[in-house]
Amino acid sequence: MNSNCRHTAFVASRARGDRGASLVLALAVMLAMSGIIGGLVTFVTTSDRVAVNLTLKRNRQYAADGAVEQAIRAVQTDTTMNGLLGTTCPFASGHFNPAAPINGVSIRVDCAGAAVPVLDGLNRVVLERNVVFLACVDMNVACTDATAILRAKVNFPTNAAGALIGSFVQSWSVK
Amino acid sequence: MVLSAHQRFAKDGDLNVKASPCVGNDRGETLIEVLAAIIIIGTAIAALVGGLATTILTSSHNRERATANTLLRSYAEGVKQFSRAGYFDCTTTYVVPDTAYILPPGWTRPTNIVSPCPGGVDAGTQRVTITVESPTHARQILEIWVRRV
Repeated sequence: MNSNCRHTAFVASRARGDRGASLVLALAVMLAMSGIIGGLVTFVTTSDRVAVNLTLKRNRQYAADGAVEQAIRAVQTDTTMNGLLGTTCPFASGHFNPAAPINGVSIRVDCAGAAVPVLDGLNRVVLERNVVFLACVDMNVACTDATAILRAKVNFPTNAAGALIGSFVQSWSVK
Repeated sequence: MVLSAHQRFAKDGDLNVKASPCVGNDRGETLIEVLAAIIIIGTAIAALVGGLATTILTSSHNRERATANTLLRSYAEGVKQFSRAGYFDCTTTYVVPDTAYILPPGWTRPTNIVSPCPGGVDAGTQRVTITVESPTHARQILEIWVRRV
């Protein structure tokens, strides 16, 4: 091999060693950018899901709130007083459903009388008329503490003649 | 002996690799690689910029939804509190004082409409529909119920 060919072979071998380096670099950059884009997509998806869930949860909570308000009113206007005496819920079906879905959510309210004997100001035993309301999404199953969106305990005081004179919310918890 | 053009150049002392008969013809390969790299990186950058733009827009949209959600809740509690203090039979709206909720800058005051009572007889509960409108005119609506205590 003459000197010209030896030099040429050296240059050629160096050229072969670098061959494809820019392509590899480009692929590495693309991989890194794919990671960044993947992160962005995850961020957007999560943020969108959070916004949707917040809206759904808000709608459900205010639907349960509205349903319990209506149920309280139904107890107030009930004439049998069963719920207030701690026996059964005063609704014919055993539970209350608002006439129409609220915020697009169908809610069921189950209630139970929780009357307790207490002493009044004259040291007489009287019944404190309390009702516990549980509101949940209507799945044709009675609401439980586990499925309830809202749990409220309401006191319905009566006057000396036994007539209702209002309602006092004792507890109102939403989840 | 007949020499080719390349051999003649080499013999004359030309050490140009591309022109040398000692190696294959690599002419233009680097250019193709660079062009391929530019196309790949260009595509990746375009996707990145597009992704960033989408992220910014979606993030802004979601922030607006979250603000609307907070404003709706705040205003709804204001309506409930105000109606407990003063429930009006067959009213058409409740006037909620500005102090009852926090209005973010750039947002218009929420509005509320009370459902009409049939026959002019109030049933003791009222459906109140609250609407909030964002600075970009996106609306959110919430239905709440208030009750005569």
